[in-house]
Amino acid sequence: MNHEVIILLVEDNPVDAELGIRALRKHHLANRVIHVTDGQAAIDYFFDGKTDTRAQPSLVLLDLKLPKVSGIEVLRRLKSDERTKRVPVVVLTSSNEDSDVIETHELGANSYIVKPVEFENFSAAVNNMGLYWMLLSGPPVPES
Amino acid sequence: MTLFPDLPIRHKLRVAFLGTILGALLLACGTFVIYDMISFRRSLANNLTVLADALGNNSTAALKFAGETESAKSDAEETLRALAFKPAVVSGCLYNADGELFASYVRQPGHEEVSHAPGPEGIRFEGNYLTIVRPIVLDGKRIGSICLKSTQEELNQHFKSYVMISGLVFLCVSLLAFGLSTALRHIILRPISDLADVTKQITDRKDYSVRVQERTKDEMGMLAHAFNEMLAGIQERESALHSANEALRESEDRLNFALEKSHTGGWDLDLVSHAAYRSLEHDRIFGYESLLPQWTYEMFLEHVLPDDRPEVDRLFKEAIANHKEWSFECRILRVDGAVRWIWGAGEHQLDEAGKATRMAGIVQDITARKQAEEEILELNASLEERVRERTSQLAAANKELEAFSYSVSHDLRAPLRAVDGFSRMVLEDYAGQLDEEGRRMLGVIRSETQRMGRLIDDLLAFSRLGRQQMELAPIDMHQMAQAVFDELAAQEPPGRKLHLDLQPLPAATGTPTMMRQVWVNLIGNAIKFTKGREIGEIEIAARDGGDGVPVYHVKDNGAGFDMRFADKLFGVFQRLHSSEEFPGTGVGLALVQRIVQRHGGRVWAESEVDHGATFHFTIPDPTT
Repeated sequence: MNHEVIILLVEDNPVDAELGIRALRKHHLANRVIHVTDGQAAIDYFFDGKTDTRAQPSLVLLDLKLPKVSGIEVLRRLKSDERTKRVPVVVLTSSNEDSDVIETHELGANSYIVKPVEFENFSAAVNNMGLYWMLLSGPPVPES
Repeated sequence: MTLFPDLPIRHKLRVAFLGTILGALLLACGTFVIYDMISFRRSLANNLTVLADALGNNSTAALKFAGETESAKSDAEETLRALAFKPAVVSGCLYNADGELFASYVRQPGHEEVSHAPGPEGIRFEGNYLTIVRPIVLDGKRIGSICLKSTQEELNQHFKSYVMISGLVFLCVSLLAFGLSTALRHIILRPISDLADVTKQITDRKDYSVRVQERTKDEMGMLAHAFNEMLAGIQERESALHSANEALRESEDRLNFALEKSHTGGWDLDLVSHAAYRSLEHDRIFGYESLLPQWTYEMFLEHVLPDDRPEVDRLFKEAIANHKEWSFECRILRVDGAVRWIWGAGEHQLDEAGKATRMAGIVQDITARKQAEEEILELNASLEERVRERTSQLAAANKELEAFSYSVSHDLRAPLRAVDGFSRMVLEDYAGQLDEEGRRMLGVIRSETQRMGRLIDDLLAFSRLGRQQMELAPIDMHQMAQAVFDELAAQEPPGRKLHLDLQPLPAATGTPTMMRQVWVNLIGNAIKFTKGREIGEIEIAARDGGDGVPVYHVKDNGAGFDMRFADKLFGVFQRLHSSEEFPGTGVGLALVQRIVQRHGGRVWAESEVDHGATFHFTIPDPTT
């Protein structure tokens, strides 16, 4: 069975984004990575009416500090909507500090990853969520 | 004339003594005299009777031939003249059967009347004379009678001599008795008069030290002895009483002194008349220089400020009604116009019947104290205010610091990620185009940025510690140490051989998260510094520190350190090894020390280069 793994990366920092995308591609962790740079874009992706024609992400990597609409707001929106609340959201934090960890859990995120996104912490997060199948994706598909 | 009971004893004795003796003597003598007189009289009568009978007998012949012969009468007179030999007889008469005088003899003629007729027969004592008339009987026939008359001269003589002798004896005995009594009564009287004298002495001079001399062993001696004992007892009690009085006076003086010096006035109120006795200090408190002639409860109330009066009066009446203590504070207006605060208290005094008729107590001027209290309250209020301010300032500062360090750490980490990440990318993608040196340089960049990341993390943790609240919870040290070891060991590369010797550890009380940090750092260090060993041996145990506080230690067989630099060990950023040998920021041990100290304990280390190190720390029980 070939599940297509589509990951939505919501990250405004270009360096962090580059590092993350590189890791995901290098280790074949996704078939496709969609990168948006602010919270509004993330919401639009899900709710702007063009949902059906778009591919549903298997996973959302969400940075909390975002322009326009904050990551918290995005998270809330995603988790409160019937259509999107089952989408796994992994919050990206810059430290292992308690405050960050507590926040992510309170907000309803499924897991968190301390930046930068790398193979180890990504697969650990995925394992934590029980989404083992995501690590068994097939050969890369050229991205759109 | 003094009555006998009031006579002095010596006179009484003498009177008794003499009275008894002389009375007895008198009685005896009297009895004897009377008896003697009676006997004498009887014998006298007997003698005369015998004489009469004898003469009568001798005269029978004459009587028989009385009328017949002439010589009969002279014979009879002759016979009668025998009476001359009895000087006491004054007359003798013979009478014939008809009672006519036949013959008579008279000692002194004319002196005595010769009776012509005999009196009745028998013995008669008439006046000074003894007259005896006896019948003369011949052949059973009374032929006449004889009458003899005698003086009682003998009797009187006898009587006189008897009385004289008696009188003489009487006198001698009297003198003897007098002398004897004088001599003897001294012996009897002396103790009594001694006693009397001593008693008078004691009464006059109140000197209980005198004693009665015990002269004799009779009842007086016993009395004297008992008296002396009684005196001794009295003397003791006197001196005890005296010293008690002294002590009382002293204590009273001290009390008064204390009352005076503490400006406490005493009062004693009669609950019926409302009049009160007071000490001078009492009146002084109300502003008077000397003791007022009188003082009542009403007068006291007048000095109380009108605002305070109702309450004071209410408390007073309540105390009286319920037999409770009266205690109050109020303001008074002194005579000199000053307003002062006073404090007073009073207690009921019961009389012998147990009724509360008086109330006694004290008043004290507490104006100074009241002022001080007010000042303290003000100070406290301002102090609290300042503390509140300071606390909120601190809280604000803390919050700022937290926000600052949080944002700084996040902001610092982002570029670090970039540097580290991109250097890695270069290494990965352009490894082929780099020579050995290039790759090495990039490696340095990477390791240094990673180090910086760790520094930031450690610094953040260190600063967070200062702001963290301590909590007190029981901590299973054994379990924690084991868990931490397992976690850290798992992070080591698979080839690493580590051996843990974990002994039972006593539980501690403290903040679990902080304590965990201590274990993480110490065990982490042990793991780190034993990297060069074939097998990393780590021993964790605890022992009693001597004063009941357990001492934990983490011992390793790693690289050890030079004890000369031991004091640098716990300084922030201090390292005793280069980062080439062993990576580390130098904050870890500082963190450990900070945490242990905040728990009230100590941490220290021992080591020998290349022979491992042992880190000891104590966590005292905060409840002791």
